[in-house]
Amino acid sequence: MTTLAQRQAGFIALIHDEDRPLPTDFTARHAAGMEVYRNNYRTALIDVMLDTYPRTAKWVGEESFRQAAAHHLIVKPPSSWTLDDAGEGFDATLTELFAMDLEVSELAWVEWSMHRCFSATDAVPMTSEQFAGLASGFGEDEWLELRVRFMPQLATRLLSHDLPKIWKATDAETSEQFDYHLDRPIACHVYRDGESPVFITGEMGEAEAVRLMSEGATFADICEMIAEEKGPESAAAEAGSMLARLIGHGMIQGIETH
Amino acid sequence: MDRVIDCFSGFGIGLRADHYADFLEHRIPVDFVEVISENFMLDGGRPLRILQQVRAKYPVILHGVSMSVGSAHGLGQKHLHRLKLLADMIDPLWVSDHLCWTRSSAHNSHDLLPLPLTREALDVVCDNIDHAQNYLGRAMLFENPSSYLTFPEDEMTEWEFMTEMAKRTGCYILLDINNIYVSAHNHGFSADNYLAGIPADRVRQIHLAGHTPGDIIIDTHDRAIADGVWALYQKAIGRLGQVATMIERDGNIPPLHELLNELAIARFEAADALSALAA
Repeated sequence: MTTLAQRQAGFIALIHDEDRPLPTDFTARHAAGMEVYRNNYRTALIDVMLDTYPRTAKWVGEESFRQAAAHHLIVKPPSSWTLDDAGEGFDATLTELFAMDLEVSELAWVEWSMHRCFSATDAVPMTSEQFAGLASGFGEDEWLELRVRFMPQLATRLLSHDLPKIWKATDAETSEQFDYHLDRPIACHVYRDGESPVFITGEMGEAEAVRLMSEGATFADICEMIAEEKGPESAAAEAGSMLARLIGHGMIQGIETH
Repeated sequence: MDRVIDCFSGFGIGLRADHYADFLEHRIPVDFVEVISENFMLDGGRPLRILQQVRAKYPVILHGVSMSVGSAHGLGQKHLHRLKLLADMIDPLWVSDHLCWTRSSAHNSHDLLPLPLTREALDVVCDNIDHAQNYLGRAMLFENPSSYLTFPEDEMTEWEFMTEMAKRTGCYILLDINNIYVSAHNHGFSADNYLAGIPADRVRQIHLAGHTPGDIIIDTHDRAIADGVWALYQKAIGRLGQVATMIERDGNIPPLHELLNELAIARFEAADALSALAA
């Protein structure tokens, strides 16, 4: 006799693989019912991904998007309790599917990161004035040991395409597409401003700096990183300028100096 | 643990994002709203802020879709923990979910999948409900699902299964009238027998919704409630007495006033059934 666990494992397999033969004890009526479940699974999850990646869908066209989403569900079927995670890893899938058009996966990465920020823990960013007030009392040791706490779910990476322009293009009703490839990669940071997820771009080195700082690097570490790339003369000034910019954009919620 | 859920005989609707502004800016004539728990089991952000504001104005029911109480591998502790955090924050009228399973040990379908109606499945469901109710520190309601197939190994009817489930766990029943209608059509059983077989004293809420007709009726929640479902609702109220009644709409969501008009019909149908009962 089929146990419940066996029945459920088999049922999920039938939903995932539409070509999989039905159990021998299933009748035509069972087959019709199974088709409803297969269709519900596929359409519901693809609809969720359309909600999560509306601009990516617009960029590649809805039919192409649906095919890519269906492929993603086959190679990476959902395992999380929350439907919000259904599109996780889709940018990596798109990197394979649109290997010659990498702006597609970069756009999807931005949308996914914004999706994650939308329901991130609430936090209030530090203002430039608050930072200035604290920093006015810093000695050299405080500056060197300075660490920052970024806003929850902040995501950072390098982009090789001009995402701000692509973003605007997906707002427009034109299907005209240009070459958005950049000669030099840029940093992209995604975070939440109030209740709205946003992204900004910056100098290439900012991506690595933000990554290091989010892992606990100090201001001194960042100065050293910049010094290795550009020489020691302006490293502290450049690191300070970058820090001021990140604070000005509301990406940092707090600092520590010990 | 509070194992008793008192009767609450109001009328409400499912709160959906299309109507957030209506509920925040106006006093909407409903006795409660119901929300999908998982949509608010979040760390923060706009949805949680809105739910807290709505809760300040209306009683709220938390209705889940992902507990997977029929899973042979037990409940997901992450889900349960998140649900408890939300329930503690919102102080809902009650917490409900479905008599179904959504996931295997490795994957989640995010659909309300049908259970074989066997003694083994009943044991699994009761164990999982016991665990959930103990963890949450409250009794729950479980809803009869719509289903599109039954299993060759079934050993009892769905109403027998639900009756035993309620008896063994002390949980309550959320009776979805549309789901009874849909499953009765799809599987060829009598909806009247279903209503007659459900323990009236355990039912605390009724769901009403629209479906897509066909050889197999699909529970789509995307249109007005069908006449046959209204007729079955009258019979249900006649048998159960006044029970909290809610209209679910998840697709083709109309302006709020259309849903309120449908809710007014529910009030009328319930009153009509109760007056017939009194006579």
